[in-house]
Amino acid sequence: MKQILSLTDLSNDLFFEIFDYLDVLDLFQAFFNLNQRFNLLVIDRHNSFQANMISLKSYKFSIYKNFILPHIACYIRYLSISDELNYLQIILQSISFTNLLSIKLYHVKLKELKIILQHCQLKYFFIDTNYIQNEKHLNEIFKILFNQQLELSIMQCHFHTNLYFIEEKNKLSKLRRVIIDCDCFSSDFIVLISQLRELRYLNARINDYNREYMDKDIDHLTGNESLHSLILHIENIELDRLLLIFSLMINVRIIDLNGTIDFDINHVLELERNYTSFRYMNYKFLSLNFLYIIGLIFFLNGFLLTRRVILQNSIGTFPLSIPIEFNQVILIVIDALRYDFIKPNNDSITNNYLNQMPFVQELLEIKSKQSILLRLIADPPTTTLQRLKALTTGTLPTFIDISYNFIGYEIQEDNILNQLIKSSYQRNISLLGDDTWLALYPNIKFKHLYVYPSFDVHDLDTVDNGILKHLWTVIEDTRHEQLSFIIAHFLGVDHCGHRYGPLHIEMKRKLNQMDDVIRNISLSFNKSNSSSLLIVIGDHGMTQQGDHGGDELNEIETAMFIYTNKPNYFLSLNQNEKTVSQIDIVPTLSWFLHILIPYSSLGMMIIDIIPLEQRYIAMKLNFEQIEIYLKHISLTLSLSDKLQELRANLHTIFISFDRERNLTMIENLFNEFKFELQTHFRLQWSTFNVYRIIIGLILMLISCLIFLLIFMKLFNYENIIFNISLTLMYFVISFSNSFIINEAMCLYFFLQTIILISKMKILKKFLLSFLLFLTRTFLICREEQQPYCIDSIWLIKKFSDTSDYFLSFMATIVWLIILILTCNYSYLLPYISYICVVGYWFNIPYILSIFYLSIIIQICFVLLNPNHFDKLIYSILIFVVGYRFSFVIFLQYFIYYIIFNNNNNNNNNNQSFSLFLSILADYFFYATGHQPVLSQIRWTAAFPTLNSSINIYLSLIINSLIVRGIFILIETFSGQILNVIVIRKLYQKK
Amino acid sequence: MNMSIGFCYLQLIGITYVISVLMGAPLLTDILQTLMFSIYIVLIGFTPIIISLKGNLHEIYNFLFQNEFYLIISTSKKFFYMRNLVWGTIIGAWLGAIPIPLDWDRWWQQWPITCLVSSTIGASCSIIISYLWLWIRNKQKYNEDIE
Repeated sequence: MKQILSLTDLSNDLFFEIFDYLDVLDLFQAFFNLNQRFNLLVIDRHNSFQANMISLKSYKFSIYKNFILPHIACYIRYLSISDELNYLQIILQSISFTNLLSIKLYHVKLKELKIILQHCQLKYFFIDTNYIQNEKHLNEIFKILFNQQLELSIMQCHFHTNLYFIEEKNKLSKLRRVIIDCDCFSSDFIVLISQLRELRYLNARINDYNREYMDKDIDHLTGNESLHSLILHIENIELDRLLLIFSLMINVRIIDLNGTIDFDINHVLELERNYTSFRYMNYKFLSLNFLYIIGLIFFLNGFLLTRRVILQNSIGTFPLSIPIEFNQVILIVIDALRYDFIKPNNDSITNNYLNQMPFVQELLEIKSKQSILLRLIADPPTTTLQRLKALTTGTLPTFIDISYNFIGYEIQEDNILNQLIKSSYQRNISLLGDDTWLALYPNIKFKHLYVYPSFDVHDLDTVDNGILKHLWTVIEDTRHEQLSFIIAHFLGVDHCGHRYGPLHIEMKRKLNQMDDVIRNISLSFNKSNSSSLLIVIGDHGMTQQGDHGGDELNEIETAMFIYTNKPNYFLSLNQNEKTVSQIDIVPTLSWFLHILIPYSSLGMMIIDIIPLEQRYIAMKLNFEQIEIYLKHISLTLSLSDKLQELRANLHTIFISFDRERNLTMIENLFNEFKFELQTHFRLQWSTFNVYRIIIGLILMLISCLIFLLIFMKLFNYENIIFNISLTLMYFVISFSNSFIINEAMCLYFFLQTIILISKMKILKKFLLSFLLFLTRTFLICREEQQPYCIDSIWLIKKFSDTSDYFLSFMATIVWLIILILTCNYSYLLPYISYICVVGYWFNIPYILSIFYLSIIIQICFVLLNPNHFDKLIYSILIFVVGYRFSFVIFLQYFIYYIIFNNNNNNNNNNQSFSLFLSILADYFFYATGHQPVLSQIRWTAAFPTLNSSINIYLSLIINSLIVRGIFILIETFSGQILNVIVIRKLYQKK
Repeated sequence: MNMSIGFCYLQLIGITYVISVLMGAPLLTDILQTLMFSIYIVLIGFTPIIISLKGNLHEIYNFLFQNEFYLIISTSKKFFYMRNLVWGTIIGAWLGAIPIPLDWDRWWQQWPITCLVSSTIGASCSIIISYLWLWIRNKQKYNEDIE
C-alpha cells in the first residue's frame, strides 16, 4: 500500500468523488486557486455542479457572479436560488444555464422564470413565489411547462393565488409527481388528471368557490390508470363532482382527504373502493374508542372495589339484665404502637423500643386478674384516618365507599359515638389529642375538647404535652359524674417513627412517657371508688423505617392493653398470647360502654375477656346485630355456603331456642362463625379481581395497537428515539410508588426536557419553560410527600382577607382576558356568568342564582347549536375552578396560545409535539391543585356557600347529585378539559 | 480572546443555572449547590468546545443544536469527541435526577449529588464510547481496504 502523506497525494478520481458532494461556493472557496492542478480539477471537470444560492449574502453573491459562474455556468445541473434581491435577473443578463436539470426557485419574477423555462430542459421543477399573481401570467407559465418541458417528471408549485389552467390539449407526458399548493377548480383538476398519463403522485387543493360552470369537456374524459396516491384538500365541492373525480382514478391505493364538506361522506364510501386510509371514517375510531372504554370498564370493575354504605342505626335496647359495669372508660389511642413496643420481651437484645414500657409489664405480672394484653391485627391501609374509621364503625376498608353524600371525611355510618349519644344512659364524651377525630365527627358534642393539629410530623411533643396538660383535670372532673368516656389520642410515637425511626433514642423517651401515662392513670384508678376501665390501643404499627400505610406484618400488628380496677374481673382467662382483629374492638367496647353495637359493624366480641356469666348474652347481642346487617347486605352481596350454614346453626341456638346450655360449644361455634365471616368479607372487599383487570388491560392494549397500526404511516421519524424513550419512561414510572407520589414533578421534568430539546426559537423556549415554572408554585403536596414538601402559602385556606381579595382580583382580570380571546361579544352569556361569579367572589349576595340561570340558558343554547359547547364549559370553569387556581388556567391557555401561534411551518406535526400536548394535559391536572388521592378531591366546587335564599326549584337542581357530580368532575379534570377545547379551537384556527 | 473565553464560561454557567432551576432545582434554597453544579457541568462538559470555538456562544449553540451546517465540521475526529462529551455530560446530568424522588432515604439522594456523579459518568462514558466507535469504524474500513 502506498503511504498517503498529504492531500495532494490523492488521485483525481477521488477528488471528483469528493467534489460531487460539495456546493459550488464551498468547492471554490476551498480548492480554487490553490495550485494549477486544483484549478484544472475544479473548472475543467466535465461533470455536474450543484449551486445553492438561497439566502446568500451580497459579498458571497459577488463571488458567485464574478468568479464562479463564468467558469462553470454551463455545467450546473442543480440550482436553487432566491430572487428576492434580484440576483437571478443580474445573473441571467450575462450567463445562461444550458445544462440545468433541476431547479428550485423562491420569490422568482415572471420575466426570469420565462427565460429559464425557455432555455432549459428541466426534470425537476420547484417554485414558491408570490410575485406572480396574475391569472394570465400563470396560464402562460403552465402552458410553457406542459407544452415545452417534456422531460419534466416532478413538479411542485406554491403560488399564493388561485389557479386555473384550462387548456385544450397539452402535450405533457412524463410528469410523475405533482404537488400544487394553491386552490384550483375541480374542472381543472379533472383535466389535469385525465391528461397526465404517467402521474403517480398528486397533491392538490380543490376549491369550487365562485366557479363558473364549464362542464364542456367532461364528455370526453378518460380515467387515469397510473395514479397511485392522492392527497386532496377539498373545500366547497359538490358530491357529484367528488364522485366524478373518484371514478376517474382507477388504481388509487392511498387517498388522504382533508377539508370541509357539507354532505354525508358515507355515500362516497359505499360507492368507492380501494381506500386504505380515509380520514372521514369516524366510525372506525368510534368503535376503537368503544373497545377502549369496554376495556376500561372491565379494569375498573376488577380494580376499584366498592362497598355500599348503609346509613342505618342500630335500634333497640341493651339487655336490662346486665348492670352497668364501668363508670369511667378511658380509651387511649397511641398512634403507631407496634405490638413488640409493649410486649414483654425475654430476649437479651436491648434496643430503644424493646421493653421500654416496664409498668405495663409489671401490671400484667402483678395484677394478672385485672389486666390483659392482646395482639391486634389491623386491616390495611394502615393510615390513621382509615383505622379510626374501623375502630369506631367496625367496618372493613375498601377503595371506595359508595355513599349518598359527598362531604369529605365525616363518618356517616353508625358508630360507637353515635350510639353513645343515642343511648339512654347519657354518658358524656371527652376528646383529647389528634384533631382527625374532629374531622370524622364534626357533629358530636364533646364535654371536654382539647385537640391539636396533627400535620406537623417533625413535632414530637406538642400534641402529647397538650393532652397531658388537660388529661388529669378531665379525669378528675368526669369521675364525680355518673358515666364518662374519655378518648385520648397520642401522636408522639408515630411522629417519632416518621422522623427518627423506631431505633432512635427518642423512641425510648416517647415510650417511657406513654408508660408513665398508663402508670398515672392506673394510680388514679386505684384511688377512686368507682369502677373504671382503661383501654390502650394502637391504631397501626410501623415498619423498621418508621413508616406505615402498607400491609407489612410490622405495620398491621398492633397491641391492645386493658386494665380495670375491678378486682378479678378477667378471672377466667388463659394467659396465652391471643390475636384478635382490630374491628373486634367495636362490639367489645360497646359492651363495656353498655351501648348497642353499631349497625354495620362486622366485628365479633372478644368473648374471652367478658365475664363467664355474661358471655351468652353478649354473644346473643352480637349475633342479633350481625344477623340484621347480613340480611340487609345479602341483597347485594352473596354469602358463601359455609357461612350460611354456620349462620343457620347460630340462628337456631340464639333465636329459635334461646337457652343457655353448653357454653363452650356455643363459644366454639361463635368463634368459627367470626372467622368465616371476616375472611369472607375481606375477600369480597379487599381482593382484586385479577382476571377482570387482565382482560381490561388486554382490551385497552389491543385498541391502542390498532390505533398505532392505523397511524403508522403518518409517523414522522424525527426525534423518534427521544420520543419513544420518554414515552417508555412515562410508562415505567407508574411501577414505582416513589415516582407515583412525585408524579407531578416527573411530568414537569419531562415537559421541560421536551421544550429544551425542541427546535423553537430560544426566546419562545424560554418563555414556555418560564410559564411552566410558574405553575410549579400551584402544585399541592400529597400526604406521603409531607416532610419534604410544603404547600405554597396562598393555597392554604383563608390565608388572609386582603390576599384573598388580591387573588380574586387577579382571577377576575385573567378570566376576562381568556373570555375576550375566546368568545364573541355577540354571544353575551359567558360574560354574564363571568360577572356573576366575580360578584360571588367579592361576596355580593343573591348573584349566584343569576349564574345558575345563565348556565341553564346556555345549556339550552348548546342543545340548539353544539358550537357553543366550549363557551358553556368556559363559563362553568370560571365558577368551578375558583379564584385560587384561575391563574393556572390562564397560564395553561397562554402556553397553548404560544405553541400554536406564530408557528407558520409544519414543524408541529411531529410526535414530540403531540407527546408534549398529552403530557401537558396530565401535568395540568396536578398544576390545578389536585392529586390522584380520594382525600384530595376538592368538594368545595360542588358546595358553594350560598348566602342567599334561592328559589326552591333552583336549589333543588343545584343540590341534585348529578349537578354536583358534574361540577366536581369538571373541576377535577379542568386541565384536561381545557386541553381538549383549546387544542381543537386553536388548531382549527390554523 | 482570553476575555471572551472567560465571559463565555460565565454565560454558560448562568445558562446552566437557569436551566437547572427551570428543570426543577430548588429556587430559594440550595443556591450555592446549584451554582456549584452548574460550574461543574460547564467545566467538565463544555471546556473543550469553548476553547476550540474561541468562546463564541452563538457558534456553540449552532454546534449543539443546528447540526446541518456543522455536519461537515463534526465529521472531524476532534469535534466528534467534543460533541459527544457535551451531550454525554448533559444526558448524564439528566439521568442523575432519576434517583432523587425515590424513598430510600439515603444521604446521597440530595440534590445535586446524584446529578454530579452521573454527569461525570456520562462524560467519561461518552469519551469511551466515541473512542470505541471510531476504533470500530477504522477497523471496518481497514478490513474493507484489505479486501
